Amino acid sequence: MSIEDGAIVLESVSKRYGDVVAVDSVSFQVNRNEIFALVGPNGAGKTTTIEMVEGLRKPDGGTITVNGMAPGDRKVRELMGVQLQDSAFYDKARVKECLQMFRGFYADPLPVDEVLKEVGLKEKANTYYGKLSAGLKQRVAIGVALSSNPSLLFLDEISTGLDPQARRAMWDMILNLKKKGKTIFMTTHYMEEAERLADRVSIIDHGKIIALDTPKNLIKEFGGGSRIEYEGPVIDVGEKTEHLDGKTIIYTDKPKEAVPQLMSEAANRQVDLRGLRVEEPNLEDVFLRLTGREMMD
Amino acid sequence: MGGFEFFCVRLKIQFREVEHVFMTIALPILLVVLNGSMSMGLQWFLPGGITMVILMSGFFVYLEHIVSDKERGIIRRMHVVPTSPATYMACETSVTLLFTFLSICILLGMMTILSVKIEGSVLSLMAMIFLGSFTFMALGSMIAGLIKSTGMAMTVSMLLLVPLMIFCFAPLEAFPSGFEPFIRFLPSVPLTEVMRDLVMGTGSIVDNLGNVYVMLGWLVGCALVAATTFRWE
Repeated sequence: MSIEDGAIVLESVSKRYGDVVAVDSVSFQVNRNEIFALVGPNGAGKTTTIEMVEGLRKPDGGTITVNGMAPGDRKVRELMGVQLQDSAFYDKARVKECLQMFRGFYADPLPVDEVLKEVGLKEKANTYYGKLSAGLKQRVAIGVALSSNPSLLFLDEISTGLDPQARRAMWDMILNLKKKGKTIFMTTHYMEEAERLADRVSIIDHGKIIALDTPKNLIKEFGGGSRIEYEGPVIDVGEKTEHLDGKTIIYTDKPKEAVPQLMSEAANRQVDLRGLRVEEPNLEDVFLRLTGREMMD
Repeated sequence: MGGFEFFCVRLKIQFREVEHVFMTIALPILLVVLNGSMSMGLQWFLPGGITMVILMSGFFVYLEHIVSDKERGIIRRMHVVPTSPATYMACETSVTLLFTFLSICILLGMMTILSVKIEGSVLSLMAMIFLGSFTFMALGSMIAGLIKSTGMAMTVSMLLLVPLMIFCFAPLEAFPSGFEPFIRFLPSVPLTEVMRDLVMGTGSIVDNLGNVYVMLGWLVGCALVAATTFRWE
């Protein structure tokens, strides 16, 4: 991908609030028709970064371009659909009215019925916003973002506060939007969400980008291999092993060879491998290896 | 066209807010009828009722909307749609004006049923309603600009609302003469006095230029403070 494919380009962008450096010389680009996830713990600088791209905050250093134009430019706003973190609508507005409110500002908005269908709210069209569950309110937020028929979609912590079922429904919706040709820039502190949805992930911590690549490549490079865990004594299978609080963890790049070897040894020694399981590395492991600490959920 | 759909939805929501409809429409009617039946007649109290509608709609409800819209992120959202926050203010102002006028029409309709007449110029009355609406909206905007905390802004608005409401209906003669110079400069008092002259046919806007200047002073002063202190988030 060349820089010309960059729908959004950030170069050495910084933002300070007094003595606090919220975003520290961050550079990346979001390519067209990809889902790009900026992932990190609370306070890492995700929302500050995405809001600078949306034009809600001004960077103190560096440059940001959206489709070659400055953030906040009226032509850029025509292309954008934004789901703001912590935003809400009027409790006494019906769902369809929430979608109607802002679409009039755009040159070519989508019909309300089409948006309702897209976000699965057709049956709730006449329900008051104040009566909706948290999951449905988030769908309204996405619906409002989609109403403008944007090519660029910004989603800031879209799954926060959702139960697992609602979260998965949200993921399906986002993947569907990508199939329709949208470019999606999202932030999340759920590593699993980034892993499932994103074409590329950028991990941010304390305002700095510490890794950027596809989830698969990040896991391959930083994930540390598979983990075989069980409750029982250490059995040496020639791989790095840890033992803590009665639990043994074996790190291996070849679980298909290590597991039969482990079980064979355990049988020979008549050792019971309680709770034996094999875990593949994920982005949580990547974050742990890169920062030395776990993501706080 | 851009703000029209926003305006339409906003207006529908306004009428669904039962507590605001009660305070802006039902309560002034009740107070006019109650006070008027006990003394001085409905015609004397009608201007106070109109002032109260303007006060409730243009100051209290308007301020509450701005403050809660800030909290909800509605105003913030105007920075990411192809429009300006000024469009939001224009829509909110238009909704407030229209709601105020509709509420006053309902009040006047009730008074007509009760055989209360407007002796003076209706056009002049409308002009004062406009002036009063903009003055109280400017007052609300000033408070929203000066007081950043939404809870504190609503508390201050309630504290201001009570005396402003009292002087919609209470004759000035009921208060110690030493207070009169201060009371006369509260925005609800000159507005009510001008409208009383118009409703009862005892004077015109020209005869009340002093009161009109007080209103304009409040409007310009509050608008200037609001312009320098108001923050969109």
